[in-house]
Amino acid sequence: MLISIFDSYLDDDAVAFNPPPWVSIVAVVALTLTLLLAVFIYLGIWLASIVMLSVVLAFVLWLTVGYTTPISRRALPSHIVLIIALLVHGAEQFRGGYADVVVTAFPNLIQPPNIITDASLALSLSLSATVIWLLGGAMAFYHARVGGFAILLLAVWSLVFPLSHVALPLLSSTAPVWVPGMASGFVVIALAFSSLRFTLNLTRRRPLS
Amino acid sequence: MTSKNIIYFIIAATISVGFTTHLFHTADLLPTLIIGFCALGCGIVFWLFTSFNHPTDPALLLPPYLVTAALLMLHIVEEQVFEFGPMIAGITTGIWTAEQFLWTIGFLFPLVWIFGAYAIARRNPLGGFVSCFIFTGMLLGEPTHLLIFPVREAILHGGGYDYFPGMWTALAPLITGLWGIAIVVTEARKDKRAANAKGTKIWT
Repeated sequence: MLISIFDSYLDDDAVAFNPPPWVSIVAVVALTLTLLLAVFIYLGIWLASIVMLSVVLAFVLWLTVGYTTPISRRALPSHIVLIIALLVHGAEQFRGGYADVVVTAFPNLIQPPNIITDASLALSLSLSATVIWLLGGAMAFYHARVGGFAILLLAVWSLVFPLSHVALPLLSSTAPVWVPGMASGFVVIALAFSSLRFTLNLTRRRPLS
Repeated sequence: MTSKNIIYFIIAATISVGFTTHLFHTADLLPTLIIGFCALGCGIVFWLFTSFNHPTDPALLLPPYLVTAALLMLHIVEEQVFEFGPMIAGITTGIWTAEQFLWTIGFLFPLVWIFGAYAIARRNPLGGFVSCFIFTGMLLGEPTHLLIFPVREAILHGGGYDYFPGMWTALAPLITGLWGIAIVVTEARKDKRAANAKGTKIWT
């Protein structure tokens, strides 16, 4: 008798998981907005600006290339190489004290609670970001649009972030000329540029859908 | 065994011995046994008996490997946030500080296993080695966060069974690690059957 309250119209026929494509746009906007605000709160406006620029550029690229046709699976090796390069870049920043340089360069912008340290930067930009890049790579393997966005975002971020190291001494008179991360930064820029070109050409030439 | 395979074996053995020695000098015997013996030692044996001669198809192996690597990194984030390094030093005679832990497990170690994903995609035998040591490491090493570290902490410093850094995310990479092991074993069996049918002998 009582069991009848659990009755429904559900059955166990096979149902395809097929959400509408625009859901991926909502997912990308929601995830990147959350990420952006987290960076702003915990790491300050300097890094939030760099992330925002990267997100906007990656989003435009994704809408023009990666959204209409999934990013090719063949782009994954370049994505993995960039993850490795960014880890080395993060290690150089940690060793050289990049956080101190940012705080010295913008003493009025980086105020509590936005006091960044080398440890907090390593934890967020190297370790936690690697989780996102690896999961993005796994999603891109299955041609999920959000995974394709992660691939483009990593490539753009790997281009913009090391370039910001060059911009730092130009924007602030208190910043040193040599910013920690510059040595590996130039390698990361070269790899990111090649990766972006390779990925976009691959996806444009061989559209998957 | 081809001369190329011998070179890959020497590279894998050098990575294992070098990393284990470094661990022993900084983190003491307990982490060395867990990472060195469970992951690298058993990983090499597992590799030699499965994908050493015929690297596994990347289309099958890469998805579980990437997810395992992501979950392992998430686990390392938890360990770093809650100071796993100094806590391990507290229950051993090791000298791991939070910074040394970050260098070894946060920067150096991931370089090897993320390179593994690249090697898997290129069907390089080293991808087989890295995937085998990561998968066996998750299976044999991660449960220690729940079964050994908190118990040893309670025995040495009193108090009951309590949280130990890395505990909440330790078993997550084990799930996908087992998925990966199943793929490696199944594909190795298929390769062996195919080789037997052809009449060719493979030493594993």
